[in-house]
Amino acid sequence: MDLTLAPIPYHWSRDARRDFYARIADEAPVDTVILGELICSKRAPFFEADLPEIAERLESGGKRVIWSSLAEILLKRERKATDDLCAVGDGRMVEANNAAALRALAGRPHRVGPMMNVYNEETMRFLAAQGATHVSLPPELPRAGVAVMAEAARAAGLGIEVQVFGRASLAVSARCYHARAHGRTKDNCQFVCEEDPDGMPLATMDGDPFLVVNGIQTLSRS
Amino acid sequence: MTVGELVCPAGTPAALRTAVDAGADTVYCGFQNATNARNFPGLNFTPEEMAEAVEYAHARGARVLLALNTFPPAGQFDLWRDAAEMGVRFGVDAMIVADIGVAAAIRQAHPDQRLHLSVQAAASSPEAIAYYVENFGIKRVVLPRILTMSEIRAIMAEIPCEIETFIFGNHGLMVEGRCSLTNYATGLSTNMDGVCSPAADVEYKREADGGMTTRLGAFTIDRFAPDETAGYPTICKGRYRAPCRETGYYAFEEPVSLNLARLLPELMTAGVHAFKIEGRQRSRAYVRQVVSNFRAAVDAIREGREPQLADLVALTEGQKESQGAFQTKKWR
Repeated sequence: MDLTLAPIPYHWSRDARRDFYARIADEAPVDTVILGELICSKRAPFFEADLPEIAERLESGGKRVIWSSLAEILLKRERKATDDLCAVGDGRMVEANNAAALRALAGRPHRVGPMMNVYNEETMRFLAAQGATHVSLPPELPRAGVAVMAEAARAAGLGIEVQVFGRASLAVSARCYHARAHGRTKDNCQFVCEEDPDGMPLATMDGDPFLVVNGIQTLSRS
Repeated sequence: MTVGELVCPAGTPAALRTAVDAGADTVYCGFQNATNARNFPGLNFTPEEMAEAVEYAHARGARVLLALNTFPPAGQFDLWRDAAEMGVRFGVDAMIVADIGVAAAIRQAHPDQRLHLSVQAAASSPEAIAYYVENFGIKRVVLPRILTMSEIRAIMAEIPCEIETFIFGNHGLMVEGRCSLTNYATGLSTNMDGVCSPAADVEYKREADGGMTTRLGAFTIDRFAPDETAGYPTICKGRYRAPCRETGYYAFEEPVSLNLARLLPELMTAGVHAFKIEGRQRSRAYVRQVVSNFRAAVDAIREGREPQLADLVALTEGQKESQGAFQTKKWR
């Protein structure tokens, strides 16, 4: 049984990211760390130059490093980032979180992330035939379904992953709700999501905690 | 390939006949179970009704699309396999799929069956669309409602299949097929069970001040003042409080519906192959009115006449309407 650390979903500063991963490399009992930006392509330029060094640090700490693709790919720069990430030849193991990444990775070993909707054995079988070595199940798949998937994965020699800690990702959108809360749009967001390193809580009109907003992503409150 | 095929909702056999009679080129419908994304009580078709519906539509020159656009949870795949089997037997013109496993299974068992890629697959880039075209022989993609006109034109130039865009009806804010908000509040899944804001979990509560509170499951989705009209509680159209918006605001979107009537000429010039009208849960009267108005407008544009867009715009008059993402990137 391996423990995997998911990518940081929020917009943390360069320093916060470096410090965090240094601690993970030295102290955390995890086997695998997934690096990179899953949620918003606008954030990547702030820290992506640090990633090779972070990856090295993690690997020298005995961790396996996997690179995450973006969950949502619309723009030219997002398409290019995905192509670059999945480029043949640099030996990186990539976790696909979008069908564009699946296409780029087909025929080579890769992982399939929780945004890919792997709900059943047929989907898992198809992905495995294209080179998937691990699939991450959607957090909403009921326990009975997880058991069936685990059995099928064992038979196929495939790794499967389920989320066991942290907020559940409930939705993604093309619209940035952080920007919207501050009267801005995604294009002129001025990176206001950086003010909420643990996401922006939404409460109901009665004041009950309900959801957490992270840019284009909506998460469970706990 | 045609341009501007009108793809219309049929939640019931009666709505299907109404849509066909009102001029639908194509109708889309599903079985009475979790295999389609509008699995609401009182909606959808028994196998016998589906067989009759295909006969009715085909006799009048209309096509039938079978929605198989949910994601089978492990262990329950046979329900989807059986639905596809029946669709083939009844002679539906295409099946609308979202799940990779469902697409692969149909492709293998029925290689000649025409497949469309549901909006639930969330394929929003040429590469993602190509993935489904290359692997499953998808002939048409229903584009997510998050693209601008210029992005739609750019995608069309790059992909080897037809495209269908939504033009009218309910307007979800989240990427379709990637939203489990309903499950979070009610325990029923949009992706697996085909429900969004199920009526059984909805509550309207009159407050002492004459206002109205709407709830979904255990959560208040909105609170309306006495002079406001209470809308149906959908999480992405609710009002919430954030630290920077303490009095409450529509965190995701106001309760608007999508109406692209004004963009219809531009969409047709761009060569969009098919237009989808949302609303399998709507009444026959609604279906008749919306379908016949869009029929007249599409025909007018094809014949070089000025379409009566005012009639289409009027369909959502009195309600808030939006052109969503289609008009400008500022929507995002």
